[in-house]
Amino acid sequence: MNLVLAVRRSFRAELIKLWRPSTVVGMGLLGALTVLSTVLIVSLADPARPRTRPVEGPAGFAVTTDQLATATGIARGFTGGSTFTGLLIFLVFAITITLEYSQGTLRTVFLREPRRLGWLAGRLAVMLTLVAVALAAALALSVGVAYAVARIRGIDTGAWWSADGAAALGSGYGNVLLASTFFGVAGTVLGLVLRSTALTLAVGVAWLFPLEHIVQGSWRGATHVFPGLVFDAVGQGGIADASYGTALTVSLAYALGAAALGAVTLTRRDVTA
Amino acid sequence: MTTTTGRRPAVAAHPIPPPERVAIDVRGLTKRYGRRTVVRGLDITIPEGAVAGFVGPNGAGKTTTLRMLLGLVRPSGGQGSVLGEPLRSPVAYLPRVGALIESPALYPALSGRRNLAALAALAGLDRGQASARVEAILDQVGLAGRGDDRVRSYSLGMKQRLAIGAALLTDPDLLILDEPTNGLDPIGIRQMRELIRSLATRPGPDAAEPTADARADRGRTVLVSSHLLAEVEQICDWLIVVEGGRLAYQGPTDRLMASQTVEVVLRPEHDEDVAPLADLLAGLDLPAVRRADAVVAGLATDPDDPRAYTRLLAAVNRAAASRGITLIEMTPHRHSLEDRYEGLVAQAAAEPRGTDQETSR
Repeated sequence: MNLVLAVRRSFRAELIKLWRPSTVVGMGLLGALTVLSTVLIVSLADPARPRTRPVEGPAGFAVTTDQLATATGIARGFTGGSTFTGLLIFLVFAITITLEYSQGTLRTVFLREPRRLGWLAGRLAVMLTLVAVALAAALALSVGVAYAVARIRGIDTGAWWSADGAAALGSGYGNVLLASTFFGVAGTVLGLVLRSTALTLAVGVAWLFPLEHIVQGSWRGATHVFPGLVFDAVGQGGIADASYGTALTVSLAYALGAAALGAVTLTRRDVTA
Repeated sequence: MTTTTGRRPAVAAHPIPPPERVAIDVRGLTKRYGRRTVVRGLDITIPEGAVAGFVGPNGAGKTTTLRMLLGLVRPSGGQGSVLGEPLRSPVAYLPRVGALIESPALYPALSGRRNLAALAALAGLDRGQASARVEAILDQVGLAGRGDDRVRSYSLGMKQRLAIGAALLTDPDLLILDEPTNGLDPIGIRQMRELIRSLATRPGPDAAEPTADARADRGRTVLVSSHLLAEVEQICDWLIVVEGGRLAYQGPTDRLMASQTVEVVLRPEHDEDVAPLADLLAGLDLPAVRRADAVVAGLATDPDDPRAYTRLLAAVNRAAASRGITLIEMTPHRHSLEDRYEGLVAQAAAEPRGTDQETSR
């Protein structure tokens, strides 16, 4: 009960903190990245034939005009950019938590709310709520841009405005939100463990993005083992080397493990910042 | 009578207030980082309503001790209570505690008002309460006109005042301030001193010149860590001195100041009376140093009997008069807290530290 109270108080406090220009900048960046990925995916779609995937399979940037013309085409621009979205969410979550250490505000916070787990839960809840809102806005932007570019390229968008199209939008949004949550939890926990913005970004970005992809190049199994790759697979609704179910299961395991590590780190460690 | 030597009685025999009047009472507080012991079995007792000064050299363990009291750092040993709640359950007492630890830690991109509003929400104040309280606090710390400016545009003094305002949000029973005058200019230091004095009591119908008892009745205790001993001497009625993570003194400030030898310049009317006066003091078993036109006598004071020193001075005067020596000057020179502090720290530093196993509890 006390923990719930702490979560509610933390939620309110974090909401007040979010009311600042950098929040709008972050949300704008998310929208801009989504628009960019949508423009790239729709405008670069191969009109001839699928490069690597069957017609209905999600494939990130590797999309054909035939695939875009199906009901799921409406969400491809949005889900195809989930890697960018994940990177941005990871950065934002990691930077904001490590700033609490470097600015010393964590001690100010814990003096007012010593139930540290409650504070963290409330904080994550606010940030994920903001991500959900930002992603909804980005999805709307993506659909608008995708429609405009599809019209320019002469792609038939008739199937987009169907029940299947709405379902694709819903599942696309849900998957990207889930992947973003996993990236956000990873960024937060890495920040809690390392406590330094520079170190967290260096380790996190280097591992989750270039290193994992380099290893993936020589070992396909990495796709359903490494956290960044499985989070990305969830965002795209599953890929060839990692089915949606596998990716989701592995991602959940990572998220739960990270949450446990973060909880222990936060509650057991002295606050000396 | 001889001058006080060896361990000072004030260290060993400070009066411990009855438990129901104690704001902080911890025993054997210890903090170790690996093999290094930062705080060694510290016993701290602070009466309710006291303005307590917490002093010691750099690295003496002051900030670590305060962090342990505030639940930010987990003690390696020790037990006790803060505001009647167990030290190991900061959740129980922190809602009644306000604190500023080291430099002010605020969100630079937010305004002063929004910083306070966020902390008020975290403290559980509802929207209406929070709004009223934030305005009152901004007014109290003199930032009402700058409340909407971002904190990054504030001077250090303004940030310090805002951080103290944040500590006051919940009208705490215990206020802990760690080096609140750090980095401030002389005017800022004076403003801070006045602010701390005003914080020692909560506003009430009889708020002018509160006594320690009156403060205790209203329940606010202030613990201030500072390097500025002159400030501490002016503000604090209770003193804790630490050195090397150990207690060097704890008790009322005036008791520490009273438990010392006062040097008194005794000047006879005629220079030829200097030698007989020195002999007279030697006969009274008082240490004395002869000068050309005066004798400097060391008169020991008794912290439990503030009038003993003046009685002794009167006895010296009578004895001199009975021998036909007229004293035209009797000027006492009391040591400052700084003098006493140096002695305490040197004494504590000279004592053997023992092993970590001996000091931990």
